Amino acid sequence: MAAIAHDTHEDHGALHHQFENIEQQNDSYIVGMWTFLVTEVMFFGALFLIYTLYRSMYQMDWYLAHEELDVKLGAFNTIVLLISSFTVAVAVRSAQRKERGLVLANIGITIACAFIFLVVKAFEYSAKFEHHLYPGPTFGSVPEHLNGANANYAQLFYGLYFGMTGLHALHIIVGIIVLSALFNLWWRKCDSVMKDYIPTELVGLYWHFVDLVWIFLFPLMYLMPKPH
Amino acid sequence: MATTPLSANSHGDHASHELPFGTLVGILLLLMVLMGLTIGASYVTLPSVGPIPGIVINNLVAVGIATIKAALVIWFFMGVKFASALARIWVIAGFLVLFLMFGILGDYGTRKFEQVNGWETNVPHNGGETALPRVWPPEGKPSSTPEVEQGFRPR
Repeated sequence: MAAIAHDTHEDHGALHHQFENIEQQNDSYIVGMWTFLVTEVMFFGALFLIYTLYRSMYQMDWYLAHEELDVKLGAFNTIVLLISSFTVAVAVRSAQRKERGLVLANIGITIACAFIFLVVKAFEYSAKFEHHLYPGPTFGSVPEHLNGANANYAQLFYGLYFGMTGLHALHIIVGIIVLSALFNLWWRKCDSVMKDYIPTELVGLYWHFVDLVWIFLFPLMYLMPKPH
Repeated sequence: MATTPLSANSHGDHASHELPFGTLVGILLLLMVLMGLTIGASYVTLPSVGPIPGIVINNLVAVGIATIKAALVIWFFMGVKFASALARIWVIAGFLVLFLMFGILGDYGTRKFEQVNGWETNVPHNGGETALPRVWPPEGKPSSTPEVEQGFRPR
C-alpha cells in the first residue's frame, strides 16, 4: 500500500494520500466549499425572505424610505464588485496556468476593490447616521429624511438595510483577510498555492459569492420601482 | 486506479478547465450591461399584464435580471461550467431549497392579528413597544380603516 501511495505522490505533488487521484481531490475541495456556500445562501436567504414579506406589506412607505439611498453610490459599488469578481476569476485562471505575477496583480486589484467598496459604504452609513435613519429610539427624528413615510415602517426598512448590507460588508471584511492570506502565500512562493490552484479557486468561490449577494441587494435596496 | 464516480467529469481533460480571457471580459461587460438595464427598468412604470399589476411586473423584471446576472457569475466565474456532476447537484440543491424556503411566506396568510402597543400613532419614540411590528389589517376590516395605521401584529 505504501508503494502505491508513494507512486501516486510522485505523479502529483499536490495530491494528498487519502485521495485516489488529483481529480477526486479537487472535486472534494470544490464540493466542500459549495457546501459552505449553500449554508451562506440559506443564511442570507432567510433575510431576503423577511425582506420580501415586509416589502410586500409596506410597498409605498418602503419606496419613500428607499429614496434616501444614493443610487449612484450603489451603482458605483456594484461596478467595483463586478470588477473585483472578474479579477478574481482572472487570478484563478492565472493560478491554473502558474503565472505568479498575474495572480499577485489580480488578487491585489481585488483587495483594492474591496477597500473601495467599504469606503463608499462607510460614507453611505455615516450619512444615514447623521439623518437618524438607523433603527433605535431616535429613528426618524429628522422627519424630512423620511420623505413622508410612516416612521415605523421606514424603520423596518432601515433595520433590514443595515442588517443585510452590514452582514454583506462583514463578508467583504472577511474576504479581505482571506485574500490577503492568499496573496501572502503567493508572495512567499509557497508550494501549497504554487503547485495546486485549488486554494486560489476556493478563495475565488467565496469572493464570487460575496458579489452574488450584492447582485441581489443592489436592485432590492436601491432600485425599488414606484408602486403604481 | 479507475476513475471513481465522485470525480466523473463531463468535460474530461484538465486544460478545458480554463476559461479564455476573452470570455471572462465578455461576461464582465455583459454583467455591466445588465446592471445598466436593471437601473433603467426601475425608473420605468411597466403596464399591468392581465391580472398581474404593473408593480409586480417591475419587481419580476428586477429579480429576473438579478437572477440572470447571478447565473452568469455562478456558471462562468465560479466555474460550475467545468464542475463535476456531484458539485453541480450540490449547487442546484442549495438554490432549490432557497426557492422552497419562500413557501414559508404562505404561513403569514393564515394568522390573526393583535395590536402593537406604541404603534397607536405615526409619531416615533412615543415610549411604546415597537419590537414586533408585523402590522397587517385586522380581519374583516378594509385596509383603509384607522386601525391599520395604528398597527396590528399576528397573534
